Amino acid sequence: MKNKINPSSDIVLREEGEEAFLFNPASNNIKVLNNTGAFIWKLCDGKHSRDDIVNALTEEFNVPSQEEAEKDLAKFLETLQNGGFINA
Amino acid sequence: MEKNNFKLNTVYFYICGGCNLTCRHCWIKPESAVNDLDLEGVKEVVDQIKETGANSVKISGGEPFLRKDIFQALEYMRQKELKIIIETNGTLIKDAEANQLKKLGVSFISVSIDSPDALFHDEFRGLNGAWDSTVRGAKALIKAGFSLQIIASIYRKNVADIERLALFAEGLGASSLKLNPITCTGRAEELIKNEEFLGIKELINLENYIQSDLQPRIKPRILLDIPFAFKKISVIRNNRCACGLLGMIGVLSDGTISLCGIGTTIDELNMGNIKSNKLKDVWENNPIVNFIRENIPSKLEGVCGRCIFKKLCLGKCRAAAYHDSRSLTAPFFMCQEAYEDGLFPQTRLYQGG
Repeated sequence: MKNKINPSSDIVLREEGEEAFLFNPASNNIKVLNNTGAFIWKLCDGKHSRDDIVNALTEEFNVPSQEEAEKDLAKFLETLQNGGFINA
Repeated sequence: MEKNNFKLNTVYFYICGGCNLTCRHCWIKPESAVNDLDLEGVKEVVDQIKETGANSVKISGGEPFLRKDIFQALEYMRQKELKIIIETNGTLIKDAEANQLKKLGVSFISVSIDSPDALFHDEFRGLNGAWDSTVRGAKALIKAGFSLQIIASIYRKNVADIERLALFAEGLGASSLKLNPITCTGRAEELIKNEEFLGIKELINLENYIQSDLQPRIKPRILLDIPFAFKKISVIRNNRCACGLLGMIGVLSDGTISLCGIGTTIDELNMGNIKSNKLKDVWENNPIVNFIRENIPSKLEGVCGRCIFKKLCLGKCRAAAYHDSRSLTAPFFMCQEAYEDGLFPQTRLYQGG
């Protein structure tokens, strides 16, 4: 699945009203998500690429520019990767 | 398991074995300063703390300011560039002491006040006039420039007064109010027998009340000390205050090296004495410390083993777990009680693994 964002195995998303977090059972790490983070996570399903996610963000949220969205997404995906929530 | 992964951050130094109060809830039950280390012994503890690489010391007791040489001891800690945190009942602190503490660069101080009512506090703390002296001490510390934390022990008789206590803390100018549910060791065992402690359902309701109603109206941050499992994500995010089990060790007033203050009541959690053992050696090699490293949080039992927040929480208080069941991996009583009563949040449990 080239260029698609793949979640690591067994990652759990928990949504509690307005709040959400990811849990990695392999490391016991937690990653707290805001609304946008939860939205992005649901697209990290092995079926969507970075470009797909940027387009979805632009449609869903009031994003100042495509470039800005790309930059923010790259930063967010890096934290997910560092926490072992998505595969490299 | 790599020993070097476990850096000792903070030593909890219960520097005085005596206390001028006889608090009904005290988990340590301090009775006498007869066997306390002298100043040279205290300096030896400080030197040994430095040898471990730890950079922080939390001073508690008993009541630390009962020691006539307390300022000399603190001065030595300052010379050794340790970050100093102090827990005190505040009764022996006036303006001169508060200013001296500020000059010594003490980082953080907390003072115990259980009620805005003097009579209630005095009855709970076992000394007439204690409230007046403590409030005077708290005011002196704030005047000296400290960002003061008020610590209150909560149980059935003062839980309805939390709002008044929070307003009182705000009026004093405190930066935070920490609410400690009573721990079932030491003198608190009598309170437990009398069913004066709060059950988990009441504590969960209290947390919800604090976050949704009280905190938005009160300036000092209110921290109810219950496990992360019962707190909203946004609250955990802003306050990750936890025991620090994997980076702390205790030294009692007679030099005994222990898990924490629990060593005053449970001998088998003691790991030597500063007079005959090196703190660094105990930290690196003692079987109790190694057991904790190897088994917490991975081998926590009961609901704690299934809790999503176990890495953050580390089973809340392992001393309490050991006290209850003589096992360092046993579930924390509040969490297990909540689970058995159907009150443990399902979103915080992990089914797999």
